[in-house]
Amino acid sequence: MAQQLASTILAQFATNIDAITSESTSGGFKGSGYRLTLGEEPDSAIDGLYFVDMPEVLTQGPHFGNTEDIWEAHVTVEVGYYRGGGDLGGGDRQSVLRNAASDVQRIADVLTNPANYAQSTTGIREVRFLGAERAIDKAHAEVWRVRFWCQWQSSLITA
Amino acid sequence: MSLASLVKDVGGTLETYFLDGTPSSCTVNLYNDQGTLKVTAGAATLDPVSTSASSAIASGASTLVLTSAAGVVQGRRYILGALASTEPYEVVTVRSLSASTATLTAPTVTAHSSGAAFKGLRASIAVTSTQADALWAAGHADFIPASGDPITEEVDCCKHKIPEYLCDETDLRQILPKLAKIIDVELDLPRSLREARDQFLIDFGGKFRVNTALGATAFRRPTALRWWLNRRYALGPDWTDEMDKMQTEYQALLQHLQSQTAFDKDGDERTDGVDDHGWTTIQLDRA
Repeated sequence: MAQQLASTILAQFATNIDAITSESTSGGFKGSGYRLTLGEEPDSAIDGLYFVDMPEVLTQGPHFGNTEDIWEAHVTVEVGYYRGGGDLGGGDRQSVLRNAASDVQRIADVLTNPANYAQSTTGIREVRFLGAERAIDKAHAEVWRVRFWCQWQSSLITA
Repeated sequence: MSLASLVKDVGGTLETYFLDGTPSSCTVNLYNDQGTLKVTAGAATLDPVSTSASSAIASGASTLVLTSAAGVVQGRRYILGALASTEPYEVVTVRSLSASTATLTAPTVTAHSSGAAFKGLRASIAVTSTQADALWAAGHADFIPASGDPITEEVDCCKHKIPEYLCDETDLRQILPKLAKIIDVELDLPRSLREARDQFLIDFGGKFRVNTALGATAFRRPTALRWWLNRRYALGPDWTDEMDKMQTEYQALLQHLQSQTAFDKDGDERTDGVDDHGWTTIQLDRA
Protein backbone atom coordinates (compact mmCIF):
# COMPACT_ATOMS: atom_id res chain seq x y z
CA MET A 1 0.00 0.00 0.00
CA ALA A 2 2.68 2.43 1.03
CA GLN A 3 4.77 1.78 -2.11
CA GLN A 4 1.79 2.44 -4.30
CA LEU A 5 1.22 5.64 -2.40
CA ALA A 6 4.81 6.76 -2.97
CA SER A 7 4.23 6.81 -6.72
CA THR A 8 0.99 8.66 -6.10
CA ILE A 9 2.90 11.28 -4.14
CA LEU A 10 5.38 11.74 -6.99
CA ALA A 11 2.54 11.97 -9.49
CA GLN A 12 0.86 14.66 -7.39
CA PHE A 13 4.09 16.65 -7.27
CA ALA A 14 4.32 16.38 -11.05
CA THR A 15 0.70 17.46 -11.49
CA ASN A 16 1.37 20.58 -9.44
CA ILE A 17 4.59 21.42 -11.30
CA ASP A 18 2.84 21.01 -14.65
CA ALA A 19 0.54 23.86 -13.63
CA ILE A 20 3.39 26.28 -12.88
CA THR A 21 4.45 28.90 -15.39
CA SER A 22 8.20 29.29 -15.46
CA GLU A 23 9.92 32.67 -15.56
CA SER A 24 12.12 31.24 -18.30
CA THR A 25 11.17 31.62 -21.95
CA SER A 26 10.31 27.94 -22.03
CA GLY A 27 7.07 29.12 -20.40
CA GLY A 28 6.38 26.03 -18.38
CA PHE A 29 7.98 22.86 -17.16
CA LYS A 30 7.78 19.57 -18.94
CA GLY A 31 8.33 16.32 -17.14
CA SER A 32 11.35 14.34 -18.20
CA GLY A 33 9.90 11.19 -19.66
CA TYR A 34 12.42 8.74 -18.26
CA ARG A 35 14.44 8.28 -15.15
CA LEU A 36 17.64 9.93 -16.28
CA THR A 37 19.55 12.55 -14.40
CA LEU A 38 18.76 15.88 -15.97
CA GLY A 39 22.43 16.75 -16.08
CA GLU A 40 22.93 13.98 -18.62
CA GLU A 41 20.48 15.52 -21.07
CA PRO A 42 21.92 17.26 -24.13
CA ASP A 43 22.42 20.92 -23.28
CA SER A 44 19.89 22.21 -25.74
CA ALA A 45 17.20 19.74 -24.64
CA ILE A 46 17.39 20.43 -20.94
CA ASP A 47 15.59 23.77 -20.97
CA GLY A 48 12.29 23.58 -19.10
CA LEU A 49 12.57 19.90 -18.19
CA TYR A 50 11.89 18.69 -14.65
CA PHE A 51 12.18 15.44 -12.79
CA VAL A 52 10.65 14.48 -9.45
CA ASP A 53 12.45 11.94 -7.35
CA MET A 54 12.24 10.40 -3.90
CA PRO A 55 15.86 9.82 -2.90
CA GLU A 56 15.16 8.80 0.69
CA VAL A 57 12.25 7.31 2.62
CA LEU A 58 12.49 8.12 6.30
CA THR A 59 10.83 6.46 9.28
CA GLN A 60 7.49 4.84 8.83
CA GLY A 61 5.11 2.96 11.06
CA PRO A 62 1.84 3.03 12.96
CA HIS A 63 2.37 6.38 14.66
CA PHE A 64 -0.92 6.46 16.54
CA GLY A 65 -1.60 2.88 17.34
CA ASN A 66 -4.00 1.99 14.59
CA THR A 67 -3.23 -0.16 11.60
CA GLU A 68 -2.50 2.70 9.25
CA ASP A 69 1.06 3.63 8.45
CA ILE A 70 2.36 7.17 8.33
CA TRP A 71 5.19 7.58 5.86
CA GLU A 72 7.82 10.24 5.62
CA ALA A 73 10.21 10.85 2.75
CA HIS A 74 12.45 13.38 1.11
CA VAL A 75 11.28 14.46 -2.31
CA THR A 76 13.40 16.42 -4.76
CA VAL A 77 12.35 18.39 -7.78
CA GLU A 78 15.03 19.14 -10.37
CA VAL A 79 14.50 21.71 -13.10
CA GLY A 80 16.80 22.34 -16.05
CA TYR A 81 17.81 25.54 -17.81
CA TYR A 82 19.74 26.05 -21.02
CA ARG A 83 22.37 28.74 -20.61
CA GLY A 84 23.60 29.69 -24.05
CA GLY A 85 25.20 32.89 -22.85
CA GLY A 86 23.16 35.54 -24.68
CA ASP A 87 20.65 37.83 -23.05
CA LEU A 88 18.24 38.09 -26.01
CA GLY A 89 16.28 35.04 -24.91
CA GLY A 90 17.37 34.99 -21.28
CA GLY A 91 20.23 32.58 -21.81
CA ASP A 92 22.88 34.52 -19.92
CA ARG A 93 24.02 33.59 -16.43
CA GLN A 94 22.23 36.48 -14.81
CA SER A 95 18.89 35.72 -16.44
CA VAL A 96 19.11 32.01 -15.69
CA LEU A 97 19.99 32.74 -12.08
CA ARG A 98 17.11 35.19 -11.76
CA ASN A 99 14.62 32.88 -13.44
CA ALA A 100 15.71 29.85 -11.44
CA ALA A 101 15.53 31.74 -8.17
CA SER A 102 12.00 32.82 -8.98
CA ASP A 103 10.97 29.38 -10.23
CA VAL A 104 12.17 27.49 -7.16
CA GLN A 105 10.14 29.85 -4.98
CA ARG A 106 7.06 29.16 -7.07
CA ILE A 107 7.66 25.44 -6.89
CA ALA A 108 8.11 25.63 -3.14
CA ASP A 109 4.99 27.74 -2.67
CA VAL A 110 2.79 25.56 -4.86
CA LEU A 111 3.94 22.23 -3.48
CA THR A 112 3.75 23.21 0.18
CA ASN A 113 0.25 24.68 -0.13
CA PRO A 114 -2.25 22.22 1.49
CA ALA A 115 -4.81 23.22 -1.12
CA ASN A 116 -2.61 21.43 -3.66
CA TYR A 117 -2.11 18.19 -1.70
CA ALA A 118 -5.13 16.42 -3.21
CA GLN A 119 -5.31 14.79 0.19
CA SER A 120 -8.33 12.62 -0.51
CA THR A 121 -6.47 10.78 -3.27
CA THR A 122 -2.85 11.05 -2.16
CA GLY A 123 -3.07 11.00 1.64
CA ILE A 124 -0.52 13.80 1.94
CA ARG A 125 -0.51 15.25 5.46
CA GLU A 126 2.19 17.80 5.00
CA VAL A 127 4.89 19.00 2.61
CA ARG A 128 7.71 21.13 3.99
CA PHE A 129 10.19 23.08 1.92
CA LEU A 130 13.76 22.24 2.96
CA GLY A 131 15.82 24.29 0.56
CA ALA A 132 16.97 24.83 -3.01
CA GLU A 133 20.33 24.99 -4.69
CA ARG A 134 22.02 24.75 -8.05
CA ALA A 135 22.80 21.07 -8.31
CA ILE A 136 24.66 21.04 -11.64
CA ASP A 137 26.52 23.82 -13.43
CA LYS A 138 27.49 22.70 -16.92
CA ALA A 139 29.06 24.79 -19.64
CA HIS A 140 25.69 25.60 -21.24
CA ALA A 141 23.13 24.35 -18.76
CA GLU A 142 22.14 24.45 -15.12
CA VAL A 143 20.06 22.10 -13.00
CA TRP A 144 18.39 23.45 -9.90
CA ARG A 145 17.16 21.14 -7.14
CA VAL A 146 14.34 21.93 -4.73
CA ARG A 147 14.13 19.68 -1.65
CA PHE A 148 11.03 18.81 0.35
CA TRP A 149 10.05 16.72 3.33
CA CYS A 150 6.73 14.99 2.80
CA GLN A 151 4.49 13.00 5.14
CA TRP A 152 1.46 11.01 4.04
CA GLN A 153 -1.01 8.58 5.59
CA SER A 154 -3.10 6.04 3.75
CA SER A 155 -6.11 6.44 6.01
CA LEU A 156 -6.58 9.98 4.75
CA ILE A 157 -7.54 8.64 1.34
CA THR A 158 -11.27 8.82 1.01
CA ALA A 159 -11.75 9.05 -2.74
CA MET B 1 29.85 47.43 -48.79
CA SER B 2 29.36 43.75 -49.44
CA LEU B 3 31.81 41.78 -51.51
CA ALA B 4 31.01 40.50 -54.98
CA SER B 5 28.59 43.33 -55.57
CA LEU B 6 28.81 43.56 -59.37
CA VAL B 7 27.66 41.06 -61.96
CA LYS B 8 29.25 40.90 -65.41
CA ASP B 9 27.04 42.46 -68.13
CA VAL B 10 24.48 43.38 -65.47
CA GLY B 11 26.19 45.87 -63.17
CA GLY B 12 25.17 46.59 -59.61
CA THR B 13 25.38 49.09 -56.79
CA LEU B 14 28.51 50.04 -54.87
CA GLU B 15 28.17 51.62 -51.46
CA THR B 16 30.21 52.74 -48.51
CA TYR B 17 29.68 54.34 -45.13
CA PHE B 18 31.79 57.33 -44.20
CA LEU B 19 33.35 57.20 -40.77
CA ASP B 20 33.62 60.91 -40.17
CA GLY B 21 30.33 62.41 -41.22
CA THR B 22 28.51 63.09 -44.44
CA PRO B 23 30.36 65.18 -47.04
CA SER B 24 28.62 67.68 -49.29
CA SER B 25 29.47 65.60 -52.36
CA CYS B 26 31.43 62.52 -53.36
CA THR B 27 32.89 61.09 -56.56
CA VAL B 28 33.78 57.50 -57.30
CA ASN B 29 36.57 55.94 -59.35
CA LEU B 30 36.16 52.25 -60.05
CA TYR B 31 39.12 50.09 -61.10
CA ASN B 32 39.22 46.45 -62.11
CA ASP B 33 41.94 44.07 -60.98
CA GLN B 34 44.25 45.28 -63.78
CA GLY B 35 43.95 48.89 -62.63
CA THR B 36 41.78 49.84 -65.60
CA LEU B 37 39.31 52.59 -64.86
CA LYS B 38 35.75 51.42 -65.30
CA VAL B 39 34.01 54.41 -63.75
CA THR B 40 35.72 57.79 -63.76
CA ALA B 41 34.68 60.42 -61.25
CA GLY B 42 31.11 59.13 -61.07
CA ALA B 43 28.84 61.17 -58.83
CA ALA B 44 27.84 59.19 -55.74
CA THR B 45 24.37 59.46 -54.26
CA LEU B 46 24.60 60.62 -50.65
CA ASP B 47 22.15 59.61 -47.97
CA PRO B 48 19.79 62.62 -47.84
CA VAL B 49 18.85 62.22 -44.17
CA SER B 50 19.76 65.37 -42.26
CA THR B 51 17.51 65.84 -39.27
CA SER B 52 17.87 66.15 -35.51
CA ALA B 53 16.76 64.70 -32.20
CA SER B 54 13.61 66.41 -31.01
CA SER B 55 14.38 65.81 -27.32
CA ALA B 56 17.38 65.13 -25.15
CA ILE B 57 18.78 61.59 -25.32
CA ALA B 58 20.17 59.95 -22.21
CA SER B 59 23.21 57.73 -22.23
CA GLY B 60 22.02 54.16 -22.69
CA ALA B 61 18.82 55.14 -24.50
CA SER B 62 17.63 52.63 -27.07
CA THR B 63 15.03 54.86 -28.72
CA LEU B 64 15.15 58.43 -29.96
CA VAL B 65 12.55 60.77 -31.37
CA LEU B 66 13.52 62.57 -34.57
CA THR B 67 12.27 65.90 -35.84
CA SER B 68 11.57 64.07 -39.10
CA ALA B 69 12.07 60.44 -40.01
CA ALA B 70 11.73 61.06 -43.76
CA GLY B 71 14.26 59.00 -45.66
CA VAL B 72 15.48 57.05 -42.62
CA VAL B 73 15.91 53.39 -43.55
CA GLN B 74 15.79 50.48 -41.17
CA GLY B 75 19.17 48.78 -40.82
CA ARG B 76 21.26 51.74 -41.94
CA ARG B 77 23.86 53.58 -39.89
CA TYR B 78 23.56 57.25 -38.97
CA ILE B 79 25.75 59.68 -37.12
CA LEU B 80 24.19 61.22 -34.01
CA GLY B 81 25.83 64.48 -33.01
CA ALA B 82 28.49 66.10 -35.13
CA LEU B 83 32.19 65.78 -35.63
CA ALA B 84 34.28 68.87 -34.88
CA SER B 85 31.63 70.45 -32.70
CA THR B 86 31.11 70.87 -28.97
CA GLU B 87 28.65 67.96 -28.99
CA PRO B 88 29.64 64.32 -28.56
CA TYR B 89 28.94 62.10 -31.54
CA GLU B 90 28.49 58.43 -32.20
CA VAL B 91 27.27 56.21 -34.99
CA VAL B 92 24.03 54.31 -34.41
CA THR B 93 22.05 51.74 -36.37
CA VAL B 94 18.29 51.99 -36.72
CA ARG B 95 16.65 48.68 -35.86
CA SER B 96 13.09 49.83 -36.49
CA LEU B 97 10.97 52.91 -37.06
CA SER B 98 7.56 53.89 -35.74
CA ALA B 99 6.46 57.28 -37.06
CA SER B 100 9.35 59.52 -36.04
CA THR B 101 10.61 57.30 -33.22
CA ALA B 102 13.66 55.27 -34.11
CA THR B 103 14.59 52.19 -32.10
CA LEU B 104 18.31 51.57 -32.16
CA THR B 105 20.08 48.25 -32.44
CA ALA B 106 22.08 49.05 -29.32
CA PRO B 107 21.76 51.72 -26.62
CA THR B 108 23.60 54.99 -27.07
CA VAL B 109 27.04 55.26 -25.55
CA THR B 110 26.81 58.92 -24.57
CA ALA B 111 24.07 61.44 -23.82
CA HIS B 112 23.02 63.90 -26.51
CA SER B 113 21.20 67.18 -26.17
CA SER B 114 17.90 68.04 -27.79
CA GLY B 115 18.54 69.16 -31.35
CA ALA B 116 21.58 66.92 -31.83
CA ALA B 117 22.19 66.32 -35.53
CA PHE B 118 21.15 62.99 -37.04
CA LYS B 119 22.63 62.43 -40.49
CA GLY B 120 23.09 59.65 -42.98
CA LEU B 121 26.57 58.27 -43.71
CA ARG B 122 25.92 56.18 -46.79
CA ALA B 123 27.20 56.93 -50.27
CA SER B 124 26.30 54.76 -53.24
CA ILE B 125 26.68 54.61 -57.00
CA ALA B 126 25.03 52.48 -59.67
CA VAL B 127 27.40 50.71 -62.05
CA THR B 128 25.99 49.97 -65.48
CA SER B 129 26.14 46.73 -67.45
CA THR B 130 28.51 48.42 -69.89
CA GLN B 131 30.94 49.35 -67.14
CA ALA B 132 30.76 45.86 -65.60
CA ASP B 133 31.92 44.27 -68.83
CA ALA B 134 34.36 41.64 -67.59
CA LEU B 135 35.04 39.26 -64.75
CA TRP B 136 37.45 40.42 -62.10
CA ALA B 137 38.30 39.82 -58.47
CA ALA B 138 39.87 42.29 -56.10
CA GLY B 139 39.25 45.45 -58.06
CA HIS B 140 38.54 48.55 -56.03
CA ALA B 141 36.39 51.64 -55.83
CA ASP B 142 37.67 54.91 -54.41
CA PHE B 143 34.97 57.01 -52.77
CA ILE B 144 36.43 60.52 -52.72
CA PRO B 145 34.45 62.99 -50.60
CA ALA B 146 34.60 66.75 -51.00
CA SER B 147 36.01 66.86 -47.48
CA GLY B 148 37.28 64.20 -45.13
CA ASP B 149 39.04 60.92 -45.73
CA PRO B 150 38.48 58.93 -48.94
CA ILE B 151 37.40 55.35 -48.58
CA THR B 152 38.45 52.45 -50.78
CA GLU B 153 36.21 49.41 -51.10
CA GLU B 154 37.07 46.05 -52.63
CA VAL B 155 34.98 45.27 -55.73
CA ASP B 156 34.46 41.97 -57.53
CA CYS B 157 32.64 41.61 -60.81
CA CYS B 158 31.16 38.12 -60.82
CA LYS B 159 29.75 35.72 -63.31
CA HIS B 160 26.73 35.03 -61.15
CA LYS B 161 25.03 37.17 -58.58
CA ILE B 162 25.96 36.08 -55.08
CA PRO B 163 23.03 36.92 -52.78
CA GLU B 164 23.50 39.57 -50.10
CA TYR B 165 22.65 36.92 -47.53
CA LEU B 166 24.18 33.48 -47.89
CA CYS B 167 22.47 32.07 -44.82
CA ASP B 168 19.62 33.00 -42.53
CA GLU B 169 18.49 32.34 -38.99
CA THR B 170 17.23 28.88 -39.89
CA ASP B 171 20.73 27.89 -40.98
CA LEU B 172 22.16 29.19 -37.73
CA ARG B 173 19.68 26.99 -35.85
CA GLN B 174 20.74 23.99 -37.91
CA ILE B 175 24.02 24.22 -36.01
CA LEU B 176 22.85 25.39 -32.57
CA PRO B 177 19.06 25.30 -32.21
CA LYS B 178 18.73 27.62 -29.20
CA LEU B 179 19.75 30.70 -31.18
CA ALA B 180 17.83 33.24 -29.11
CA LYS B 181 19.42 32.05 -25.87
CA ILE B 182 22.91 32.37 -27.26
CA ILE B 183 22.94 35.83 -28.83
CA ASP B 184 22.81 39.24 -27.23
CA VAL B 185 20.09 41.85 -27.49
CA GLU B 186 22.49 44.42 -28.94
CA LEU B 187 23.55 42.23 -31.87
CA ASP B 188 22.65 43.62 -35.28
CA LEU B 189 21.60 40.27 -36.70
CA PRO B 190 21.10 41.27 -40.36
CA ARG B 191 24.46 43.03 -40.44
CA SER B 192 26.14 40.11 -38.71
CA LEU B 193 24.74 37.78 -41.39
CA ARG B 194 26.13 40.02 -44.14
CA GLU B 195 29.44 40.20 -42.33
CA ALA B 196 29.60 36.40 -42.12
CA ARG B 197 28.81 36.22 -45.86
CA ASP B 198 31.65 38.58 -46.74
CA GLN B 199 34.11 36.82 -44.47
CA PHE B 200 33.16 33.46 -45.94
CA LEU B 201 33.67 34.85 -49.45
CA ILE B 202 37.09 36.22 -48.47
CA ASP B 203 38.02 32.81 -47.07
CA PHE B 204 36.60 31.16 -50.19
CA GLY B 205 38.89 33.22 -52.40
CA GLY B 206 38.61 35.75 -55.22
CA LYS B 207 38.64 33.37 -58.18
CA PHE B 208 35.95 31.25 -56.57
CA ARG B 209 33.86 34.30 -55.72
CA VAL B 210 33.94 35.52 -59.29
CA ASN B 211 33.46 32.20 -61.04
CA THR B 212 31.44 30.36 -58.48
CA ALA B 213 29.54 27.45 -59.92
CA LEU B 214 28.12 25.89 -56.81
CA GLY B 215 24.63 27.00 -55.86
CA ALA B 216 23.86 29.23 -52.91
CA THR B 217 22.53 26.25 -50.97
CA ALA B 218 26.04 24.85 -50.73
CA PHE B 219 27.19 28.04 -49.04
CA ARG B 220 24.60 28.06 -46.30
CA ARG B 221 26.34 25.84 -43.80
CA PRO B 222 29.87 27.26 -44.14
CA THR B 223 28.48 30.78 -43.89
CA ALA B 224 26.47 29.81 -40.82
CA LEU B 225 29.60 28.29 -39.29
CA ARG B 226 31.47 31.50 -40.07
CA TRP B 227 28.67 33.42 -38.33
CA TRP B 228 28.97 31.33 -35.18
CA LEU B 229 32.74 31.65 -35.22
CA ASN B 230 32.27 35.43 -35.25
CA ARG B 231 30.43 35.12 -31.92
CA ARG B 232 33.48 33.61 -30.29
CA TYR B 233 34.43 36.69 -28.30
CA ALA B 234 30.89 37.47 -27.23
CA LEU B 235 30.31 33.95 -25.96
CA GLY B 236 33.45 33.67 -23.90
CA PRO B 237 35.32 30.69 -22.47
CA ASP B 238 32.23 28.49 -22.00
CA TRP B 239 32.22 27.97 -25.76
CA THR B 240 35.93 27.40 -26.38
CA ASP B 241 35.61 23.68 -27.13
CA GLU B 242 32.68 24.10 -29.50
CA MET B 243 34.37 26.99 -31.29
CA ASP B 244 37.55 24.99 -31.83
CA LYS B 245 35.56 22.12 -33.34
CA MET B 246 33.55 24.52 -35.44
CA GLN B 247 36.73 26.11 -36.75
CA THR B 248 38.01 22.70 -37.80
CA GLU B 249 34.76 21.84 -39.57
CA TYR B 250 34.70 25.23 -41.26
CA GLN B 251 38.22 24.85 -42.62
CA ALA B 252 37.48 21.35 -43.90
CA LEU B 253 34.23 22.44 -45.51
CA LEU B 254 35.97 25.37 -47.16
CA GLN B 255 38.58 23.08 -48.68
CA HIS B 256 35.92 20.67 -49.91
CA LEU B 257 34.04 23.50 -51.58
CA GLN B 258 37.17 24.91 -53.19
CA SER B 259 38.19 21.51 -54.48
CA GLN B 260 34.79 20.95 -56.08
CA THR B 261 34.10 24.39 -57.47
CA ALA B 262 34.91 24.82 -61.12
CA PHE B 263 35.97 28.24 -62.30
CA ASP B 264 36.24 29.89 -65.65
CA LYS B 265 39.41 31.93 -65.61
CA ASP B 266 39.29 32.93 -69.27
CA GLY B 267 35.64 33.94 -69.04
CA ASP B 268 34.51 31.92 -72.04
CA GLU B 269 31.53 30.45 -70.21
CA ARG B 270 33.27 27.08 -70.13
CA THR B 271 35.38 25.53 -67.41
CA ASP B 272 37.58 23.35 -69.57
CA GLY B 273 40.18 25.90 -70.63
CA VAL B 274 43.91 25.49 -70.00
CA ASP B 275 43.89 27.73 -66.97
CA ASP B 276 40.42 26.81 -65.83
CA HIS B 277 39.86 24.62 -62.87
CA GLY B 278 37.27 21.92 -63.04
CA TRP B 279 36.89 18.27 -62.36
CA THR B 280 36.23 15.34 -64.60
CA THR B 281 34.52 12.08 -63.87
CA ILE B 282 35.75 9.00 -65.69
CA GLN B 283 33.80 5.78 -65.69
CA LEU B 284 35.78 2.65 -66.41
CA ASP B 285 33.82 -0.35 -67.61
CA ARG B 286 35.25 -3.77 -68.12
CA ALA B 287 33.96 -6.44 -70.40
